[in-house]
Amino acid sequence: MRYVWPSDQGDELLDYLVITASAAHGATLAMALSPKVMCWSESQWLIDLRPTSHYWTAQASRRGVKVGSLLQMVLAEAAAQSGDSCAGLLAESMIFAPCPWQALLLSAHLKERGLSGPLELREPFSQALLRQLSWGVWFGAAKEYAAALAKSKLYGFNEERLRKDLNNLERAVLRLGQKHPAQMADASSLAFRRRFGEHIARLWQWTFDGVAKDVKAGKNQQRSLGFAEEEVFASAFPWINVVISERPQVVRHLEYPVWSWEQLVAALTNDLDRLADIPALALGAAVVRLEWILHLEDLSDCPVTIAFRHPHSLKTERGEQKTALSQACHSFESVYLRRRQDLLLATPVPLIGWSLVVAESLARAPTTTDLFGEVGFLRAGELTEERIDNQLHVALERYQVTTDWVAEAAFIADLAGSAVAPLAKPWSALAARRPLYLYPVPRLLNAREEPLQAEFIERTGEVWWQRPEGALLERNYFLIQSRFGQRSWATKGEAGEWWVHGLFA
Amino acid sequence: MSALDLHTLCSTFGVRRGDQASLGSGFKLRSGLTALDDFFGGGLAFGVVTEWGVPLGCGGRHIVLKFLAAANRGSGVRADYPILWAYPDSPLGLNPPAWQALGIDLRYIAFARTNVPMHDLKAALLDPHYRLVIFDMPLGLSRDDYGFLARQARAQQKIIFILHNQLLSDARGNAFAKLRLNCGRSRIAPAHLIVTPVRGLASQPLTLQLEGLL
Repeated sequence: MRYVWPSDQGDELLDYLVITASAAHGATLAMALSPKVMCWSESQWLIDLRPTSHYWTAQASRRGVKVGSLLQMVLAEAAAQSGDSCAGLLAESMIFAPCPWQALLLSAHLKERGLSGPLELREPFSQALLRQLSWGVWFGAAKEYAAALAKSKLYGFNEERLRKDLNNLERAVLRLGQKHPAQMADASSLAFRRRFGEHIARLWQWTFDGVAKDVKAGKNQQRSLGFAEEEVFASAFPWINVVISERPQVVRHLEYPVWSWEQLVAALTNDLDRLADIPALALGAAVVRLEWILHLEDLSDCPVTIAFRHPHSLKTERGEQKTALSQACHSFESVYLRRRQDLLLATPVPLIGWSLVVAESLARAPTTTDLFGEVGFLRAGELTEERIDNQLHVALERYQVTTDWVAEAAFIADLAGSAVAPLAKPWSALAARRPLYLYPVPRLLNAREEPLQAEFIERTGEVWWQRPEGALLERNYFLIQSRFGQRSWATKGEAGEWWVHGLFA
Repeated sequence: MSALDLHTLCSTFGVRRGDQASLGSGFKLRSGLTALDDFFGGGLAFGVVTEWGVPLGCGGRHIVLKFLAAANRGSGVRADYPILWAYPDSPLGLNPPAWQALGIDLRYIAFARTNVPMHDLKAALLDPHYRLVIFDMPLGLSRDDYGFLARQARAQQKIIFILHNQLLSDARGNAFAKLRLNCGRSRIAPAHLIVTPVRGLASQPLTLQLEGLL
């Protein structure tokens, strides 16, 4: 039976995916979805979907399918091509979760109970499954975590100590007669830290809370290029990227030293074309990040990152390489030319050569085509927003509205550009009386800016459960007009002071 | 097949309606408001830079938004005229629900937050995809920048709106903008907007009821 992705859920892709695939083909399959892949156990593969999540969401939105279904299709096709004998079971092993630890726990739990996926942790069914998790599964996964930490050679990590802490916890659980971790869900991670050490406390926190709120809040910022450097779990989760043994690269030795962009652009275009011709990329792999290591005349190296918001196929722009050159120019200016300012040099140290290395790429199967072109990648010459977004130095923003009465929560960033649902009348009427521009934090008007006129517009209930005790329970909004005729949306504080929250058109 | 289906199908494959077929010079973007369209001689012409003096909070942006709302009204799965709105990187952000309530289809508008739009958005200006480009309160556009914008508007048949946070005057002209005008609320009748041409239109100032624009 084909699994139907729940339609009432938001179509935002969760950050991590676990699949079960053979050791021989797992990496290739996983890399069809994201360049960040980790081999957790012999048959379990962890995929960090963050570098490509907005890309897949946009593709799914364009095709009118759920993003989970699209990933399932891409994986199935890649599996069929790789000749993996477990291809049929691949979809059933897919577990999406906001944190890798939760994905691993659910995967092990499904295996224990003989159930099959795909599952998304935001579904009530998956959350119920997580609550039914046994201590046996939890300890099994924790031991794997300890082994992975030891393998990652984390500085200061003592494997023996962690195993001892795990044994202590096991004894405590036995003594308390607990069968499921959910029975102790109220216990704080601080209490665990005190009794069983830092690592177990962290695992405990991940089990039910997933990733911390501040990490989630920063998710929308990932579209600014260069996010790949930052690892949410860098300090704690033993993430070890699968590294392709031979990363495609080209090397350039210049005939004479150069230091300006105009002098090197022709050679760089040529090198990008050469890179596109390397067999590993010529088959259609799309680049997510290039490392451009500049070799300077003083024999030092200056690494420059060329990153793309959407996986980019170098092959489709052969001869021009507009997208890669646009991002390369921006990075060159901000790294190489700024280096000169930082080192207080009169002229920059000239370049004598460079290496261009594919740091991250999506392995695409060569025949993943559908009626309208390719399943995953942009067609040559197609003037799409993704292509332009890839060439710009700032990310394009899109929004969709939500049904929330609080102005600052009534919209969210929409990476896929899929805002289709028009607002129902009451919400639309409310929005029509509000300003076009908002301050994220209201601005206090000083005495000199005292308004000439004030007209009451609306009373909005405050999210009192998120505010400190004693804070106002409601906001009274007024349309105020300054002496220059500027109309603002303002609320009155307890002392009668005006706080401007927005500006009208 | 119903007219709606046909329109959706045409939009999907990039086929334009009959009235959109002539996208060369002379084609105009209509707001759907007769008085406003007549004032602009049948609508805003594609291929030009327009400069607007619209102080923030004085209502002038409603005129621009009226044109933008009309641009993609009735579009199918693909926008007829994709919009790019660049605004300054300042503490003042956007309130998208209010934009939607004014008729802007959020699927077809992309925003870019930048203080150096000419540098950061050059690729979008060189590409014909975004037909309507708005620079909201741009900082320090030079004469060369205006020249570049005028060339790109003509070459790619775009309408480029430059929205200034102060009123324009003929003392500081701009030969690259085909149309320069000031918009704001009337001091005598605050429920009315006055559109005053500075350059490019021979007509007298236009007075519009603000209610009619909402």
